[in-house]
Amino acid sequence: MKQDDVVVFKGTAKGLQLVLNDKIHYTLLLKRLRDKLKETAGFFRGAKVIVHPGNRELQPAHYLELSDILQKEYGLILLRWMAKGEQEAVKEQVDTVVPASPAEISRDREPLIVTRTLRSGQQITHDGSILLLGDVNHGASVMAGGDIIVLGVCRGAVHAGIHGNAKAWVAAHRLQPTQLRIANVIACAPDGAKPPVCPEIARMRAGEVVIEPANLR
Amino acid sequence: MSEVIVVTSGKGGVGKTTTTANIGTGLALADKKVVLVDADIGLRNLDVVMGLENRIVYDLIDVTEGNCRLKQALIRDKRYDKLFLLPAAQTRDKNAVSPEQMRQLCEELQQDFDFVIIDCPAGIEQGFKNAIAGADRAIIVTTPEVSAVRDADRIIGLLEAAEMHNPKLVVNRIRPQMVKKGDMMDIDDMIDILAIDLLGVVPEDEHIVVSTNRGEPAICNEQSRASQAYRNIVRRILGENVPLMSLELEVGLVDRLKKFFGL
Repeated sequence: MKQDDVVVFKGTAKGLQLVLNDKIHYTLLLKRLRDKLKETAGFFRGAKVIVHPGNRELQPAHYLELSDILQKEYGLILLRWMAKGEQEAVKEQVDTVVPASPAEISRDREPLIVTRTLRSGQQITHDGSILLLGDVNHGASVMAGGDIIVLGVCRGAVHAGIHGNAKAWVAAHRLQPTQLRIANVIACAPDGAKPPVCPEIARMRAGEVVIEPANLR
Repeated sequence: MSEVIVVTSGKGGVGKTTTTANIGTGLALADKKVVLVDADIGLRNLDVVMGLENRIVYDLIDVTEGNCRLKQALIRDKRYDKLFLLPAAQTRDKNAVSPEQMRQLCEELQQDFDFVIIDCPAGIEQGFKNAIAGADRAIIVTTPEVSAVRDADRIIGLLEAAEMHNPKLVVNRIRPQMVKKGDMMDIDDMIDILAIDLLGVVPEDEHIVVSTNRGEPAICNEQSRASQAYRNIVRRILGENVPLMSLELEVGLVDRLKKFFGL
């Protein structure tokens, strides 16, 4: 079994899920979990997770041990344990959230037009695309199932294609976000980057977020 | 017509209390009847900055809990007849008063005063909610630091959510030399991000430290540059159109020549 399949982090509509393989031995699972968290070097620190132990019968001591590893050793926040019966429902949900052709969902939904500046601490989430006439300031976040267009300065965090649509894109008059996500790919602003001088668009190309001048023709 | 103005910032230590004290004193100098309300319950400072600490008998909580009448808790300033202070309680915390009580208090104060100026505590929790509850207008204080500007932005968002629009910005502790060298954020950068009207710019000034420790607002000292800035802010609050003062400390010969030739 590939090591990667034992401990998997999944981003779902309900939040971050940690799926633990139920076939391998418990002690090995602990080791793999620690390896995985060590490898991600604090990336998930502070993240809220729902833990999905699969069909494994966990003893109360195991729950404690796992929760200590997650919370005390690596600083994650454990929201809850998923019950065994819940698995099927969740599996279904994940499946509907990421359909075969993800481009379809966002087209179904009406785009949302926002005519104000988003300030620190303000957040907009919409299943379709979002058109924002104003700025997105540092500390604000915009999350769309489809594309995001900011006719202003985009300084906060933007996430296009939250349900897994890798064809979603983000365009802004001035695109300088602290963090930009498309589907499940995360791009951070490089340190000391020069501010852009023209409208730009961010898209996924070969699994990576590429930012280039927006060519509106 | 009387106004209730809250002085707020989000971040601590940017000069809310100093700004409140100076604006209040300035308005009193302009012959307005002013009351300063310290909403920072449990961490009161405004009384110290005003030099009125030893005169406190009753405080804001005594008023809201009905232990005294409002008039008994108001402390008249030792320098200006038209200036009053309603001190915060030091032995309680922010939960000792509710936004509704603050609203009533402000309404009552409005009957007797031209200006009610509220010194808001740092943060966005209960204390902030109390402080803004009774206010009509807000003055946001920030310093030219990225963290202070972010917090100011957050506060503007929260004020919008509380239906308080068009707050005014005071940029405090700016150091013109550093701005000139590009080591400090300049005013335009801050206005770009916050997108609100500028009420004034106060330069960094050692007089502030001295006057704060002595308990006399800097605005009383005509020599200080910060004092000049506060006077201008007060005139703008009163509706005058005052240009921003030049922040250049010394104008060199070359600059003067350049100016002379219109360069």
